[in-house]
Amino acid sequence: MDIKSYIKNHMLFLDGGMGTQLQENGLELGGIPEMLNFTNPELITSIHRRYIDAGSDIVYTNSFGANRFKMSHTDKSVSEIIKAAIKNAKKATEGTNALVALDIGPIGQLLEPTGSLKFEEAYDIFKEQIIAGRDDADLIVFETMTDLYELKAGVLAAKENSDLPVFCTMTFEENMRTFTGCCIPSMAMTLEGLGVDAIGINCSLGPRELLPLVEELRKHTSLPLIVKPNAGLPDPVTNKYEITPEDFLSYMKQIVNAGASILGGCCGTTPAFIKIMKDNLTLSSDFTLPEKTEISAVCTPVKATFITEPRIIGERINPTGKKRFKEALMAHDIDYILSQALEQTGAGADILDVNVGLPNIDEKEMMISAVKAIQSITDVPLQIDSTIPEVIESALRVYNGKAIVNSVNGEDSSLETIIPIVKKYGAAVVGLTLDKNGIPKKADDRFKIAKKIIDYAVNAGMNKSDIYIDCLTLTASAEQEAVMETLKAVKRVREELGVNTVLGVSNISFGLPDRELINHTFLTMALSYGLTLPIINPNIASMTGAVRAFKLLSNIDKNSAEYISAYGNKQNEPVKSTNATSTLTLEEAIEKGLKNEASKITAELLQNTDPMTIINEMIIPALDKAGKSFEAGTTFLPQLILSAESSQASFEQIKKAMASNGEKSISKGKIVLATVKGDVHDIGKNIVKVLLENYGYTVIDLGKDVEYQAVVDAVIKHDVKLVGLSALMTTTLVSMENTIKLIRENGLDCKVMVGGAVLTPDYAMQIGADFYAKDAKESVDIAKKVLG
Amino acid sequence: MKLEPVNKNEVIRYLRYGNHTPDEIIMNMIDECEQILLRKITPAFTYKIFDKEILSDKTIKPGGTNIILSGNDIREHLDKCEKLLMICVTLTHETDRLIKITQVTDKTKALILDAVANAAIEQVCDKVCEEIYQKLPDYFQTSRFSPGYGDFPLTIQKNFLNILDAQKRIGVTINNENIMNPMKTVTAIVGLSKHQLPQKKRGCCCCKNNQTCEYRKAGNTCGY
Repeated sequence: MDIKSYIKNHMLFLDGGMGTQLQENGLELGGIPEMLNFTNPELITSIHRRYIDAGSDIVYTNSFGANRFKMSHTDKSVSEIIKAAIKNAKKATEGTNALVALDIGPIGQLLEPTGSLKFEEAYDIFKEQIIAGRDDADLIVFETMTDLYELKAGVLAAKENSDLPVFCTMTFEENMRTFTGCCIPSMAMTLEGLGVDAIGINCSLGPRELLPLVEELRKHTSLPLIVKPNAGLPDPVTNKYEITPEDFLSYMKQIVNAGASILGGCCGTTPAFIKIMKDNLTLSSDFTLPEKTEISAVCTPVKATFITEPRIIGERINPTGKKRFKEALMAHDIDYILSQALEQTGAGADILDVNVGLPNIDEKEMMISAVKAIQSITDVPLQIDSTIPEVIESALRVYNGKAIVNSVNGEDSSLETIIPIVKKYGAAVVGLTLDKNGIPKKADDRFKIAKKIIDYAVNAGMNKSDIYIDCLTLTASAEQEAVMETLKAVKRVREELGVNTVLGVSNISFGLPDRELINHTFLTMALSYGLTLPIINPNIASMTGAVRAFKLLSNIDKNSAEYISAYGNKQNEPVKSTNATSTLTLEEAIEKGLKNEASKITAELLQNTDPMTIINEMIIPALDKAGKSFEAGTTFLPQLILSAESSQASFEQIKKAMASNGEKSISKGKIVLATVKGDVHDIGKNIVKVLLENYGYTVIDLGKDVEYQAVVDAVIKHDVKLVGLSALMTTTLVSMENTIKLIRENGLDCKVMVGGAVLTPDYAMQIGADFYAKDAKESVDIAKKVLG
Repeated sequence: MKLEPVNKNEVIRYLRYGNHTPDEIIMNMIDECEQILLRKITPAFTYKIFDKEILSDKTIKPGGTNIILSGNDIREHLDKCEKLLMICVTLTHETDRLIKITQVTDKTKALILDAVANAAIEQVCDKVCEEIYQKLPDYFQTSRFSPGYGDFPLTIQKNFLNILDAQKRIGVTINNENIMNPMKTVTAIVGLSKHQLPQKKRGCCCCKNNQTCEYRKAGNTCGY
């Protein structure tokens, strides 16, 4: 049977529960089902066989948890377990047409950014399973997945290491989301983009509860749908599932009517459930899969953004013309990039453009870090902006969801390199209407290039709806006659080619006074000509406002709902405590923890005061004072951090001023900070970081769950004399010890300070630290001692 | 399950104020953080009830499972009980994410959110247990006992979650260092008996670890 073509117009029956069947046959809770492939192969084969006899066309191998992490406590390798599981299943299929699916469940550890397992590591874990099974299994199934990112790692591993068909099912709750927040449209567009053969839902709920989820999924994919519900919900007291095969069937009928064609059962179901479906369910004679959807959309797991109306792409994560941003990139200051991301989404950006290209930095590494970090704090989809194919591919690989690539152009070489990457990862792409002859002067010529790009991409298998055309904004001060050509091209592309359109709006005003006025006016014009994806600075109220007003006036924003929610409560906004600004000193603002005031006063001071004077005579003394009263027990941690954050706001002003004057920022020395391997509690470390930065130290923040070697590497690379390690849990103190050991073994000339709730001074000395810091304040004292 | 208003005194304790009262700015932030959490977080929980099985070496095992509840303290805790209730309660990934995002923009608020979440999860545990107890009118209960209390080892967490099927049911996982994810997650065991159970003293005063406890040194308790 050629599965891929068979499922296009046939119903297919899968098997029912394996784990619950094993428990009925004596497997204790907490026992390892995969080991039964060795200790009781006859039982495994007989369960498969009973499913095949009941009507299953495909049985799943007994290898749900057969991965490196879950099997680490057994005496069998992943490869041995998977091969045994397939052998037992194959034996059951003898003399029948039934096929064997290599069954792969979740790894059991949560991936970054929520958890600590790296995406690349997850890929390796799945790859090992796929290599073990690819020669003997007929297809690969991923099931019970709740993390789209983990599933993406699995699908990539499957597609890159085998030619087998791939089925994917995820597990949703009644709120139509998985535990990690993944929604159904995001699952559908991401997996369909990655080229899997069928998708669906399994486990967690019974067929009655799954029906609305199946209906929703059908709307968002043209792939065959798999549904494997539980036999209702288990009773926690008896551990029994509640519904009968007859009830199951009645709901499954409705699920078939909703468009599902690959059916089976999950926990609590038995061969009787499969038999009753096989005997009673058929596809209607006119069954066809839906046409491919032609609605443009991009997503993260939590948020699917449909481009059926103008959507704002935020342009601020880009070093071009931004000295402060360049400095942040050089210093690998991810927090700065994150603050830029949050500022834009807060202002109304629907999508964020991410460009981290700068000479002399490792753009690929920086892009990967930036994409992962931004996705850990925002839900908006990203647009990967780079000229280097390798950077684009690396970013798409680690991106969680469906992204946009910025960009491809009409040159053959560009199309040939970029489109295959975009297609492989199921992304959308921005096509620039230029080619080897540059940007055509006339709208008609740009239109021709747009058409060429679309034809090429569609021929390569992409959906037309995933191509967005950029007709290119030229600078009005230099080429005034070109402005209307751009707009004419936008109109033709939108109306005649029917695709979404992109323009980098801010270019228009380069070299002119009052740029905002020009930008804003051009934006409004462009929207009327059919611009749907303006790339703008969303932090400028008039720009975001123009898009919102346009949507209202063009009857897109029905009942002005979005507009009113953005502006309706303006007068009710609480008035921030600005009354005392004029009378407060910077020291007072810092002591009281007033961030906005500290920032404002610093900006004023910078007009006529030397930055070093502000730092040494105002910020540091204020911080010292706050630190002293914290030590004395008259103020407490939250107040200390408030003060630290206020002085950080003040520092930000100073950095900005110095960057724009071309001055190098001042540093009293570099310190590496890390929350040790295995530990994911990083609040304490982050507090220490702010305080150290306030005292003028450059902090190289390695984040949480940091490998021992990564600390050593950073010390060597940056020639650092002080390392701060943090651990919150007793279980991770050993990681702290190992990190220190490795630093010592490498003979590095650097001191180590340690801190964390469960540490004691004695223990700190015992594991070889030079200093124990009981709190953030003391880490500053230590830094002063070591670095001056 | 909905979150309920959080015990502010607990929050203040987690923020290590001791007997002091935070100033107005911090009190307002505590209120604000509580509101955010109440609005955004839906806790999740799962539980199973087992017969108490006593092995020949007197160690205890939840019936029909393959895990051993090792240590004297859990044995004493479950003394005179016929059944045991194993629960896992989580404030879900949403809470971790909220704290993480807040750290970028406002570290003070993040610290306070963290403290509010710590206080909240204890209250959620109380409420969840209350709900379960109502379904078991014939039984008396012990207090909750968590891995890490006394000599009940943290290393049991992986198996604990496994027999509750906690990853499938409520999305709780654990890493190699026995740290649970989501971070605001609690596991606990409650003893059940049809006969009135003797009141046991709780707190640091009667914990065997009270001289060496790391929480205590930091001015906190593990909740025992």
